[in-house]
Amino acid sequence: MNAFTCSLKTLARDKSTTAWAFLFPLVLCSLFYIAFTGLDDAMGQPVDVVVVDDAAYRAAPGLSETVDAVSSGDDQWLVVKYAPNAKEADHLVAHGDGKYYGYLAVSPSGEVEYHRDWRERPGLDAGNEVVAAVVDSYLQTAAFIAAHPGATVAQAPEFTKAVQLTANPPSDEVRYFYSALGFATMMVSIFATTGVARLRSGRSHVGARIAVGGLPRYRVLAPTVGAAYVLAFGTLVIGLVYVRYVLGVEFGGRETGILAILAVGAAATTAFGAAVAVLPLASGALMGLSAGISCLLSLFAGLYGPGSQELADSTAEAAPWFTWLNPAREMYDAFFSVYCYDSFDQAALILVRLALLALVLFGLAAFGMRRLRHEHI
Amino acid sequence: MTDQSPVVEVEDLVKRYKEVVALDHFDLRIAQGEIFGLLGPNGSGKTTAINCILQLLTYSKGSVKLWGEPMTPTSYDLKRRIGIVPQQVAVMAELTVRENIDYFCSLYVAQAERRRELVDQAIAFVGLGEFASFRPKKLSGGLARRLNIACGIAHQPELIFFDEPTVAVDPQSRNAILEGIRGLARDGATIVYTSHYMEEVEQLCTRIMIMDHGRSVAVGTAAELKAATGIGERVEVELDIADDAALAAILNLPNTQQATLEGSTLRVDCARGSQNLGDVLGALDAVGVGYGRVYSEPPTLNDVFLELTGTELRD
Ligand SMILES: Nc1ncnc2c1ncn2[C@@H]1O[C@H](COP(=O)(O)OP(=O)(O)O)[C@@H](O)[C@H]1O
Ligand SMILES: [Mg+2]
Repeated sequence: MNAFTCSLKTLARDKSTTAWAFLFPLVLCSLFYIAFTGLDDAMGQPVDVVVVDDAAYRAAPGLSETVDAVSSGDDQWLVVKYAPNAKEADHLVAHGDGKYYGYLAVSPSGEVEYHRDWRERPGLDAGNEVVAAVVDSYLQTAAFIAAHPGATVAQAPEFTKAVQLTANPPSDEVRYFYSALGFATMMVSIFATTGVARLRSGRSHVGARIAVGGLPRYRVLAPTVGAAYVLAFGTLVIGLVYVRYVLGVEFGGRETGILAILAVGAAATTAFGAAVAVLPLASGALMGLSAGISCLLSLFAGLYGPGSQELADSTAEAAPWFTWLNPAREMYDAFFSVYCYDSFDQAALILVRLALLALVLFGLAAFGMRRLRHEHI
Repeated sequence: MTDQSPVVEVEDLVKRYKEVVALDHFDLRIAQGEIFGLLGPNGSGKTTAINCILQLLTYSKGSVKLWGEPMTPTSYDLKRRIGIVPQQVAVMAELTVRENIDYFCSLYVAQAERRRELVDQAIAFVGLGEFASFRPKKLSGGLARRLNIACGIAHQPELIFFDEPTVAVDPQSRNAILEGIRGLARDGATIVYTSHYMEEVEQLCTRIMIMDHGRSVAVGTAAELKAATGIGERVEVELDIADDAALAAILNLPNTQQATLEGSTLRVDCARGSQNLGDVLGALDAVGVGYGRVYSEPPTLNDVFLELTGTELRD
C-alpha cells in the first residue's frame, strides 16, 4: 500500500473525520431541504395582495399594465384585490385572516409603496419578495418609459427582461443549497487536517515513524494531501448528486459550472486544512480548529441566512481583501455568478483567485512540514 | 566508508530538555552484527539516545555517524537501511495488520510485488497470520507489540533499533520476540536493543552498555561487566539455629563484602573468587553451626548496576 492509498483508506475509515466532513454537511442539506421546501411552494404560488386603485395609481405610468401583466396568464405572480383607498386596503389586509400579504399604493408624490402585513405566517418572506420583485420590475419599466417618451409597456421589450434580469432568477431554495455546498466545501478541509496532522514527526508517534523512514518529505506529504483532496471533492460530488437527484433541487442546468467551482474550492479548503495541520497544537485540537474556522468563515460568507448575509456584506465592503482570503465567500459568489449570468467570466476570475489562495496555503503547509527534527517529541 | 567503520558511532552527544540533561556527553560505538543492549532504568536516556541518532531530536552537541557517514535528517540513503521499533506502538488505527505492515514497508520498498513477499515474511515472523485482517484495536497488548515489530522489520533493514519491545508483554510473546531478534541477528542485522530488564539484556545481547542519567556507566559483555566490578556470588545458607558467632566468623572471611543474618537465614555477598562457597561452609563447620539448604547465586547485572551507581536497577 503506498502513501496515497494508505491516506485514502485511513481518512475514509476515520469515523470522526468522516462524520464532520461528510455526514454533517449532508445532514445540514437535508435540514435545509425540510426547512425550505415549504418556502419554495410559497414561491410557486401567486401571492394575494391588495392594490389601492385610486387616481395616483392610474396616473403612475405603466403601473396598472405591469400589475395586470403579472396577475394574469400562466405565469401568474399576483392575485390582486382592488380597494378604492388606502384605508379600505389596510382594513382588508388587517381583517383578511392573513390572506393578503400587504397592499400596494402610490403616494401623492408618485412613489410606489408596499405596506406589508407584519403578522407571521408560513412563506411570509418569500411572498413579500415576490411583491418586491414586481415593484422592482415596474420601476425598471417606469425608467424605460421615462427615457423613451411615448413608449407604452406593451412596447417595452425590456419589461419581460426586467423581471428576469438574470439567467435564472435565484430562488431562496437554491440560495440556501449554495450556502450548504459552500459550508460543506469548508468542512471537507478536515480530511487534510487529519491526514497531515498524522505526519507531524514532533507530535505523532506514527509521524515520527514515518519521518525516520526512507521517503523524502514531499513523497509523504503530497500523496496525503492528494488523497485528502480526492476525498474532499468526492464528498462534495456526492453531496451535489444528493441535493440534485435525491432532494431534486434544480440548479438551472449549471451543474457543470458548480462542479468546476467545487473542484477548485475543494483544492483551496484542502490546502487550508493542510496549513492548519502544521500549527503547533495537539492533533485533536487541530480538527476542532479546522471545523471552527470553517464555521466562522462561513458566517462571514453569509452562509447562515439574512443576518449572516448582512455581516458578510458589510465586512466585504470594509475589507475586500478578506473576501479573497475566505474560500467560503469566494465560492458563494462564484456559485451565484454561474447561476445568474450566462457568461462564466466572473466565476473564472474568482476561481483563479481561489487557485492562487490554494497554492499559497499549500506552500505554507509544505514549509511547516519540512521540519523533521524537534526540540522534544 | 570502510569495512572497519562501526555501524553506529556517536561521539560526545549532549541533549537537554530545558533543565533536564537527558544525554550527558554520551558516546556509543556498535559494530556490524552485534546485538547491542542499552540497559538503564526509566529516564536514563535510552529513548532520547535513539531519537537523537535517528535525527528526530535536536541536540546541542555531538556527532552521529552511521556506517561511517554523518547522519542528518535528510540522509534518506542511510534511513533506508534502518528499521525502528519504537517504544510506543505506532501504527495506523484504521488499517488492518497486513495493511499497516505493507504501508510502513512502502516507506522503504516501492515495488508492490516485492513488498507482498516481504509482508508475508514479516507476518509469519511475528506469528500474526491469523490476525492479518484485524485492526490494531482488536489485538491484545502482546500482539500489538508484535505488529509494531513487524512494521519495523518488514523491509529487512541492516540496522534495527528495538526500544523496550517487551514492556507489558506476556511471557509467551516475550520469548517469541527475543527469539525473533536472535533470528534477525543470525540473518546479519545489527541490533540495538534497549530495556530496563537486566535478565533479558543479559540473555540476548552480545554487548551491553549500562546507562544512568544520560551517561554510559560501563560497556562490555555481561561477563566483562561482572568481572570489572569484582563482585562474586551471593551465598545463602539456612542455619539450624540463629547464631551470632556464625555471622562473626563469616564476616572475618577475607572475601566477605557484606553478611546479614535474618532469622536463621544467612546471606553473604562475596568478592570475586573461586572458593567462596567452600570458605563459607568451612567457616560454619569451624564454629560448629549446622545448616540445611544452601544456595549460591552468581552475580547479576543488577548487582553490577548497584555497584556502579549506588542505586537499584529494578523499579
Ligand atoms: N519531551 C520531554 N520533555 C522533557 N523531558 C523529557 C522529555 N522526554 C524525556 N525527557 C527526560 O529525559 C530523560 C531521558 O528520558 P528517556 O530518553 O525517555 O529515558 P528512557 O528511554 O531511558 O526511559 C528523562 O529524565 C526524561 O524525564
Ligand atoms: Mg524509553
